[in-house]
Amino acid sequence: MSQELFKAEILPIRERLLHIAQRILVEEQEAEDAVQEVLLKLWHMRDSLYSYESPAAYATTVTKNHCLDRLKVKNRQESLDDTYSTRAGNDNPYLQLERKNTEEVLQKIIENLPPLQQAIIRMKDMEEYEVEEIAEITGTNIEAVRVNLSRARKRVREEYIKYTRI
Amino acid sequence: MIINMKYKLNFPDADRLIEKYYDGLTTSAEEKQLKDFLLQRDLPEQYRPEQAIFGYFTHKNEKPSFRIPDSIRWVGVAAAIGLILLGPQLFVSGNQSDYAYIDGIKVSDIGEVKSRAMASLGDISHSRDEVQESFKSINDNDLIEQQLDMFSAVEK
Amino acid sequence: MDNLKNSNDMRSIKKYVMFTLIVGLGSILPTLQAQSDLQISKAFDQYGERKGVVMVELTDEMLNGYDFSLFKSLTIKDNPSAAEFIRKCLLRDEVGAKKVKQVVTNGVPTSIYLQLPRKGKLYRLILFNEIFTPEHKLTLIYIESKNDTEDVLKLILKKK
Repeated sequence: MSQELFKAEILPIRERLLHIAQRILVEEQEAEDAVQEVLLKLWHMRDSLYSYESPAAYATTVTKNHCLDRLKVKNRQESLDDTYSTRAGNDNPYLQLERKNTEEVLQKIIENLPPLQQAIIRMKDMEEYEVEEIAEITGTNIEAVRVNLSRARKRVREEYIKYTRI
Repeated sequence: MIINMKYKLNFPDADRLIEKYYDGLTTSAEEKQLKDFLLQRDLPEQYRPEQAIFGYFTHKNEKPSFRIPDSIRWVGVAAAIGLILLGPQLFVSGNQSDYAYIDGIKVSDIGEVKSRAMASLGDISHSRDEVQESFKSINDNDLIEQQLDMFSAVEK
Repeated sequence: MDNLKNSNDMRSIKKYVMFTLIVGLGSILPTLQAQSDLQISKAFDQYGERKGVVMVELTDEMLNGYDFSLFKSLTIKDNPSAAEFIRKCLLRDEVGAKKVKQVVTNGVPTSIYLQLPRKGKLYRLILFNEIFTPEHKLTLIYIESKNDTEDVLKLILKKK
């Protein structure tokens, strides 16, 4: 039931959401990523959407807040990068795990992925959605999903190797 | 032939599938094949990362014992994605005392926990549009008097 | 006699908003210092880990742009007796409350918001909501925040 609502009310306004994202985030690719993240988020909340008088209005609010949050994190990250780069020696954020517990390491790695990659790798590799389904929900195509999935998986591998070969 | 049977996939095929996997091009069937291959014991060192990764995802899949019909499953998992995207506080979130219990099962993934929190706030907000601003104009003194009147009336 | 007893008139109106301000009798009642002093904490203990229940606890987190020092929520489906129990808890926790706001439907408060006396610098809020269609679901939220809970309430009560 809520799937139809999502498709009928949310997907058609993708353009509008993209414009909002572009106004806030400026950079085209970032805005596109943000919209995909929002659509995935709304998809996972679709059971609650029916209770809104205007799901579309809600979606635009979510988009705005999401993009503002993204900006906030971006600014914070930039200053954090400065902090970390001045630290001498091994700046391994996973070293705080006393024992190199594989599962914990991977959990942290995935949690630290960029939001869209994180969402897509979870949907594909944990929740076993099909790529086509993810493409439909995000209003993109299979290639776009594939690219993010590929990036996410490669990143996970890189980070894993980096932080388990001490 | 014997090697094939022992390792389910031969190494060249496995390597090819792994490359496909990292390019995001594997089908579900191929991923299943890869998983069967990687979850074996005594594989060479070079497969460690993939073993860990596939092992992690498999474990994550098996863990939620509430593997129930689709319509409920999505709700049950909504959180895992939903709030990762809401507030990516990469270095700040993830408190020890952030958790959720879903059907009695503890979840510590901060994304999922936050998403659940947001959902509960959503429940509260969606049905209260009838609350008017009229109460704002009532000031404390008036009400104290009213309350006192009420008490004194009761006493009588 | 007094506005509370006039609710007889109100009952004929299907939906209405009733605002009650209860003056905190601070000198008489003990200040509710910790959440554990509240009756609703029993609800979290009793129902938190059951089937059909989602319980959340967040400490020092940001949600939707608002900082919460403590956020606890309980969502229970298909359990009218839990609703009854929690309403009883709320009646008692209401006693020390600074402000009470309700949304009443057909004579029953379906949403209840309590602003509690502050705990040190923290503002405290209890939110309760019960719906009957399409399914029975109750939501109970307890919040401690450095932000004035009026702002938090505005966030929550914003028109969809």
